[in-house]
Amino acid sequence: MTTAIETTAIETRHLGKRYRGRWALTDCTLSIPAGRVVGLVGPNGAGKTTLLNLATGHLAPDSGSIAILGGRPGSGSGQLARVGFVAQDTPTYLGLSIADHLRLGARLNPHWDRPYAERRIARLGLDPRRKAGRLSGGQRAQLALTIAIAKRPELLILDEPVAALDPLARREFLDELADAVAERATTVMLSSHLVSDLEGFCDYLIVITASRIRAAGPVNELLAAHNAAAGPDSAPADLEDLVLAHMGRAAQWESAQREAAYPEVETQR
Amino acid sequence: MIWLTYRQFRMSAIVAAGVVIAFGIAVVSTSAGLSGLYARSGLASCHASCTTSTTDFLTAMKADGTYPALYFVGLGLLLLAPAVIGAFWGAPMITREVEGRTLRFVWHQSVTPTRWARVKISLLGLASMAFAGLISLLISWWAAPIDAAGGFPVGGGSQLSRFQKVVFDARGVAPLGYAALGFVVGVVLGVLIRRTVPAMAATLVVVAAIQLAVPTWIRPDLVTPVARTGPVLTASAFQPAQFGTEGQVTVPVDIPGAWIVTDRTVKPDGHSFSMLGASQCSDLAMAQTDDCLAQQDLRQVVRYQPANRFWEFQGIETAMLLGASMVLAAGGVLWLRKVRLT
Repeated sequence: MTTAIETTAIETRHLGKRYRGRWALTDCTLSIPAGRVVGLVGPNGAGKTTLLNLATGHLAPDSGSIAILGGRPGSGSGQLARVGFVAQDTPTYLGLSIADHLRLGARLNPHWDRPYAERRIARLGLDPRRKAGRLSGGQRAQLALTIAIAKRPELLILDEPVAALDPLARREFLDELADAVAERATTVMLSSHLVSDLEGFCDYLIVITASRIRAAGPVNELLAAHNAAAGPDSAPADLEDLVLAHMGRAAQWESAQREAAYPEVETQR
Repeated sequence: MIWLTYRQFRMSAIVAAGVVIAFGIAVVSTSAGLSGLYARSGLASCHASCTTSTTDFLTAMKADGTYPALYFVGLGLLLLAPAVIGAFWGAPMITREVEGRTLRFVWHQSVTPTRWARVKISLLGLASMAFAGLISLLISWWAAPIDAAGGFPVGGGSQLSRFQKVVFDARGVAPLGYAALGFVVGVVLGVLIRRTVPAMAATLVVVAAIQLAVPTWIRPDLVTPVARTGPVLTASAFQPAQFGTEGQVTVPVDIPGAWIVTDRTVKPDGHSFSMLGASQCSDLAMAQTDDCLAQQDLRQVVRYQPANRFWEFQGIETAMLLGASMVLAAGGVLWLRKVRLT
């Protein structure tokens, strides 16, 4: 084990965020070691984007605390330089060319890896003079990813990066991402509502439904615990089974909570 | 950050530079002709009775359609600049990034939102001031003969001197202050409203309201006006008088280059005179009305800002506008930091 594994990339304690009285995320406690590739899964509206926005500093928490690489999210240019972020729908400046975007990256980031960025754009077969507005969704996602990686962050956060891509582009995008981060042991956290995207890619999993963390841990440990609980006769579970099991348990737990809260409604029926 | 600001602003800058160059060419190519008219009228060398020279010069100037057109183009450019700059440079600065969702991209380079906003507001604010400053320099220089002759003639013997409400905002350094404030108002409304078209519309309205409010309510009392009480008005003095709808009587006054703040006709007790309170003078023939008024012991009280206060007023008003711009810009940056992307 290298020292990178021992440090903590993301640490939250009873983290919560409220929108107009409704908790979008509540009582979220996590400790994710550096060097992991973290998958954040859950249905739409479960709180994934809220958690990622708290991690990037775009939102301030309403309760609890969060530390990213030991610092407060988005607390200054030094902290921003250590965290890369690819937002949902991978926004870029539609009126600026690819070359303009790379220049922007070079101007705004202290550790910019220009050879890497140029090499990657060339490998993708993109013309640097092309305006971002004239790229396909997949190409724009690749451009955003290139900029986020060439920034050379210690932690790379991606919010549903493949949601807008067709299945083939998805695979390519994730393979590219895996290659790019493997060399430098960059910590990655990405969210998806499709577990199949993350199979074989993540080594750490967070399951989130209805604003709460349902499970969090290394994939192999979660699978081992799941298989042990299922008994020796059942077939070994894969990631999909694991997530569904946790979501199912959460749903059962919630209906039990509702019944406990409104017993008189049940008796009247 | 400076490069990015420049890159995003490049097209707007080219358009603005085009306007300045086109206006500059028009102004430079006609300036000699206007100065020639001024020199030939003998205005430059007259000392006492310059009325004839002034009339000669202004008539000759108006006879050529080019000079009045350019005069009003310059005036119009500078009066519209603050609202247009605010709506097209200020408001979209933030709203376009909100609508394009690009704040999540650019604020995740190694630049804090505060620095992003500071650099953008400073550079675009300076560009706004540079644009207004250059146009003002050109028109102030070109129109110097007209301003020296007392201002553009607008019928009824009155002239638009450079101290008049509308012209004042299009001369000297005041346009810099208005451009800066217009831009910042646009930015702040963009931060508050966050949608391009409503923010642009709100900016046009708010900036126009400021341009109306400052000369009407704030400027007159920046420095206490000089009050001049004339002798008891005679019947002949009432001949050119104008009668208002409230019965007020206004006797025209001519103080060269001055800005007349109020012009009242008062009774011996110091209160404003009104025809409504002098029924004995109503319903008479013109000449008899004048005679009747002459018997009321009325005097003319004029409050005015003398011509030599022009630059003092320019300085005070510009400093005030720039100060307001800076306060507003600082508020906008703080608000932006507080609101973030929620």
